[in-house]
Amino acid sequence: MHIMEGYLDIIWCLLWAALSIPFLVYGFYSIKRIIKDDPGQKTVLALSGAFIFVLSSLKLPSVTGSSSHPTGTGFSTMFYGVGVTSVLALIVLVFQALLLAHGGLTTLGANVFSMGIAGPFIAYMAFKAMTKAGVATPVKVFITVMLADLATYVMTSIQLALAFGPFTESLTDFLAVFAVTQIPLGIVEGILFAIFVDYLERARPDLTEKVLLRKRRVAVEP
Amino acid sequence: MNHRYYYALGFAAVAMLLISAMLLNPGSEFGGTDDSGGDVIGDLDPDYEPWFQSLWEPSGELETLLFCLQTAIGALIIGYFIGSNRQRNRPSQAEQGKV
Repeated sequence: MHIMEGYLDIIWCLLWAALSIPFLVYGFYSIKRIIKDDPGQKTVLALSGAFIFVLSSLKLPSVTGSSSHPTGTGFSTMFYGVGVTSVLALIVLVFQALLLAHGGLTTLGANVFSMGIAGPFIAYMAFKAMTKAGVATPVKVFITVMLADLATYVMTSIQLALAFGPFTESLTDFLAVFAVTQIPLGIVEGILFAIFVDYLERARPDLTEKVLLRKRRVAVEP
Repeated sequence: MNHRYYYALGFAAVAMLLISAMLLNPGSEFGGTDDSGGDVIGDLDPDYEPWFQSLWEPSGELETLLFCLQTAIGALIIGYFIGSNRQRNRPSQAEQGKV
């Protein structure tokens, strides 16, 4: 999803940066508040960032014969929502722009918007809806994480199609590159997080209780 | 059924998805989609010139190193967390054993 350095005209760079800033400011203050209210949350915050670090550093092969980065943003989205996730995505994207020449400083706003805001936003909406409908946790986690990943790449395609129109035709071209490759990777990411969250529920129910709206399990181990 | 069984199934599914990607595309270079995105831009607008260059671009080997660094930072935190949970849950398991 990294739009390469210099590949968006300045007007688009500014627009996406301007759209991202309110989320980042809100997220920054959310992080401060979360840590102040409950220092124990630092662990989960660190974990959320760590997953984004690990997964976005991996380039996984897809059945389409190309490879791409998962985003790892679904976990943070479930626990803290869009604002916090946008801050964590910003940290990773700055790291990659400065040290790896992946993405760039001019396209940072656009990349934060797709990875840290659009993807998590769609995923968060789905997560809330599924929680209301009482969907079983592993299924809920799988779908949320997969959506955060896929929606990020759909957003990147939209951003590029807007900048390099005609919109409809070029959107098809960009989706063919980004979104299709991403489908199996989204599934991979979804499975991994479904496993991890299930582990977390067993090992640290105190951390997941509020988020997954589940009472502590009372020794259901066989 | 034991949850570990489901974990094993999940990991097997992940491995299958990634391995089938390699088996279905023998000889493929698995180029990154970020670069193919750039190629699509080239097709749509052949005259487009990137107007800004990365301040610094690592060579191939250095890039691998720095990607590994990124993975390691994340993996270290996750590993520390899992390890500390193990330690944390140990006394309660010992108590259960006594009862």
